[in-house]
Amino acid sequence: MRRLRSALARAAGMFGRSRREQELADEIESHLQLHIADNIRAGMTPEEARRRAVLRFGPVESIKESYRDRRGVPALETLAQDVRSGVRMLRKSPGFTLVVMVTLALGIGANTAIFSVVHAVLLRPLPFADPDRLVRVWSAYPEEGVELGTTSPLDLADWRAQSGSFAAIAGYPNLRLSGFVLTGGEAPEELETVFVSEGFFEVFGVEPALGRTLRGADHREGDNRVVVVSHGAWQRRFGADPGLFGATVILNGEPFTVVGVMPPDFVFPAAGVEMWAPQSLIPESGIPRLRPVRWLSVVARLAPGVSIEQARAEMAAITGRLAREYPDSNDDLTATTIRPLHEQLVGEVRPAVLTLFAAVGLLLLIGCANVANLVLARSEERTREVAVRAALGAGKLRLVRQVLTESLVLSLLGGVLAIAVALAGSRLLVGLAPAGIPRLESVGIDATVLAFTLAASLLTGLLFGMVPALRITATSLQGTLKEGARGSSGGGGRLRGGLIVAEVALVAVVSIAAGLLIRTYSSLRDVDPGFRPDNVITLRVAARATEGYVDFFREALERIEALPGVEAAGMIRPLPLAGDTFQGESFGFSIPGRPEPDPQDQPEAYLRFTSPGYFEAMGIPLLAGRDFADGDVRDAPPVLIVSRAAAERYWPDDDPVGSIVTVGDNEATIIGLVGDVRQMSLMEEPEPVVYGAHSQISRVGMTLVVRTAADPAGLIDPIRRQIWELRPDQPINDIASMNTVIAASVAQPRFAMALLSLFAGLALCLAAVGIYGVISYSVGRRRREIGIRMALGARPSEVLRLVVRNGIVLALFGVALGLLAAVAATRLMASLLFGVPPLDPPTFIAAAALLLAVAALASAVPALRASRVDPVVALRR
Amino acid sequence: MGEKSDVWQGTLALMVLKTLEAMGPLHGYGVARRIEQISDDALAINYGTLYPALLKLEQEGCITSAWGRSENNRKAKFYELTAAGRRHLAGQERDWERTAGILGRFLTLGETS
Repeated sequence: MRRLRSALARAAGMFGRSRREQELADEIESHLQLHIADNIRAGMTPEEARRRAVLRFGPVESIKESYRDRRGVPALETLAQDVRSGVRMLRKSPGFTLVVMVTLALGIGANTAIFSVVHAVLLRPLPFADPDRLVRVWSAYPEEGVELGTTSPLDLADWRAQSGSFAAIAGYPNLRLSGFVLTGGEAPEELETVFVSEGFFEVFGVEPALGRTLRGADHREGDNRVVVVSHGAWQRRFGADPGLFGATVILNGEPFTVVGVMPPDFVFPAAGVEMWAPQSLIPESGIPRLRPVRWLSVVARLAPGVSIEQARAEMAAITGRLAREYPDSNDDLTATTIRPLHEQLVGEVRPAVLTLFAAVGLLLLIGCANVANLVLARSEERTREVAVRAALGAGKLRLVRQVLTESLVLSLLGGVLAIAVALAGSRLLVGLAPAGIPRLESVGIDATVLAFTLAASLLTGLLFGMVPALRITATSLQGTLKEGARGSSGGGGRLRGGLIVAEVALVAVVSIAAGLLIRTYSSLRDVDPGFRPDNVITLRVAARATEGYVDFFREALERIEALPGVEAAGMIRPLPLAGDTFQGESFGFSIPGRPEPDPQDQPEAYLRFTSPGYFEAMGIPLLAGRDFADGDVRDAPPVLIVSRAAAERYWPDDDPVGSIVTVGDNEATIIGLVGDVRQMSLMEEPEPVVYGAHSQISRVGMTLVVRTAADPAGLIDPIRRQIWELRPDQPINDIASMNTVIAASVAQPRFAMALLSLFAGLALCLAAVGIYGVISYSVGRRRREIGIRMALGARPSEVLRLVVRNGIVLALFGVALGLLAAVAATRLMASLLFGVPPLDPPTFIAAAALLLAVAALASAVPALRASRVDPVVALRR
Repeated sequence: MGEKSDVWQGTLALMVLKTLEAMGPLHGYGVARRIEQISDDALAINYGTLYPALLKLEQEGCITSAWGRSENNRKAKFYELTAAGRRHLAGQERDWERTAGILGRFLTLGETS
């Protein structure tokens, strides 16, 4: 207790230094005065009294010093002194400080940004109770090699009834089903709804933010008009109304009770879910409940004390039993796969994220080496200062500490800047990242991430401070004072040179890779998608196939086309490049009058559903024949339109228009030929496509495509009004211009390009700093030599050339090595490239030229300094 | 001056506390003089250790200090024993007496044998 108290008092004693100094001086003075007074009273003269008192008191300064030692914490005070002197040194050479701090800020910042992703995506526990007890369960078909199959609700019910390994087990659809349409607000809206089986909320064990979750009884048919709302939907759609639970809302035209609202971080199975509803709401007619109909993803919570191996063993026994019991449907479903939920959620992205992390780690390491070089170069200029201080009695330890403190001051300052870099960087990463990375929405800079930054800064400072510190311990004091910097640079020079060559080579590889991706992206932008995307707006109108919906759409299209500013309107499913997982039905057909082909050569194309006007609205050229018309209804003769790719493949010699194709027993006439469209991705060649009229083959989930004369933004509202006048409860989602759709479709290559370009930029900065550091170092070392050369008549321009050539030679080696490595490396990224060969000469040449230019620039700065060396000063040193 | 013994580090604190207990609030000079007088000037207080010792005791909470006026109206910093200091002193006194007792017996033993 006394010790703690005294420690606190001492820590406090470090502050208010001058006031305390004054107080000590006062106390000593008062002591002397009292003593003098006593002495005078004892009969001494004032002079004698004072002399005796002062003599008796002893050496004031040394007493003050020991008092000071007792007052504060000496080690900390030295530290404060070192920090102050470090800051002073840094302020004296702002150029050096700036370069180092920017290097560190970039290096540490990039690491922090990536770490914030690693932390959010990989490390942080899932926001569920005891998340390590949660598992995913799949149906497996060992004989077919299928490990991760979906599950039938009937099998799930048997698993639940027969197993003892799970505290709870539940299923949810493995595909996105149309959600509920909420009416009663400003506009009808489709809410992303997950239809969950019983036990779903018990699996996660998360308390609702409001109300309750779904209970067993909620799943009973008749009692199942209940929903749980996500926090996001509660805020967006219901104005964060705290009285929402228990309230009645109108979904798909029927009253439902909202029983609860979940907390913000509960977004299972995916971000964007707005509502959870009982699975029993899906009618038998929608998805028949049969054993072979397997459409559920299964999650479960292991029962207390049950290991995942025990669960696997028990599930193997159960599935084996079910396979014997239901041989018609289950004879091949003889096993399950059980994996931790966390692993399943992040498993796919883990290698990519960790690779990225390792890569930025490497960059930081290179940055450290560079900064160490810089610090060395500067310590070269300070060797005499250090030697003088050593001669004046500063211990080696004290000198080492001083250098390390300076390094730490630098790295911590760099760390502070790094936070800004990381903030911008992580925001950029999240903004650019393609969809599908789990938990990316929760990436941010929090305490853990800041702790990482601090640790990274300290480690960095120690790492690059170690080099000059070690040099001090190895420096011979006398030698330095006598010789100045006359010694040879020893083996370190080659090591440093090698480091730079390797750095430049690495940067060359990364820049070439980035260059290739930039070229890929720009050729993607130049690719002709097969339609004209400008001034086209698309809206998803997820109508259910109810009575009269064909008439509704016909009428809606007529009204929209009549709007001023609208040039054409039509509908399609699926919209090209929209990333719709539904890519059209595979459509196998035969052509009467031709010999029966082998089964694998049977004509086949993707079948898509359109309305009249779609081709015109999208700007797809009609090459022959006619478009669909309003007369092509269910009772009229079936008609089809084929794409050019289909025509070229299946009618290479004759005109497809007018041909008859048969599908089973049905015949259809081909009435038109249209241009090809890139459907899945701009990178893929168009596939053969057959278009059918949606009025003949009714389908849901159509997307409205409207071409306007000018910017379509102003027409969104009129279009929606026309639809709602016809059907007030029609939800309209995913409103986007076709250009936005295209941009989203290239998010992945854009992300790769942006990431690699950032990387290349970062690496280039580091390489520049590296070259600058090494050249500065050698200039410092060779100052005398340069002085002699100049004394012997060398002109500054010659010195300049000499030094710059040093840098260029290093860079040349690096670039040569890098080009060789790139030849090997770019082959690996061939699948990422589009419209540019892996060995694209312009990219290689540009990267090499850029690097050499940067190298020349980086060595020019110290070279200029060298050319200004005053021979007299240099020789005297 | 040569025969005067220096005060041991550990015992100086004890003497300071004892002096303050006996005399009440006192300034550093007074404490030093008092210890010297009590020991019949056999002990010479080294001021290089007295003031740090006072600071240490203050940091430990055994004493407090405040500026005041001396008997002949001079400004001086007065030190005063705290309750914690009193407890600490009592403990130290017991320890010291025990040590002194053991040492005394030991020395006596040495004389008789």
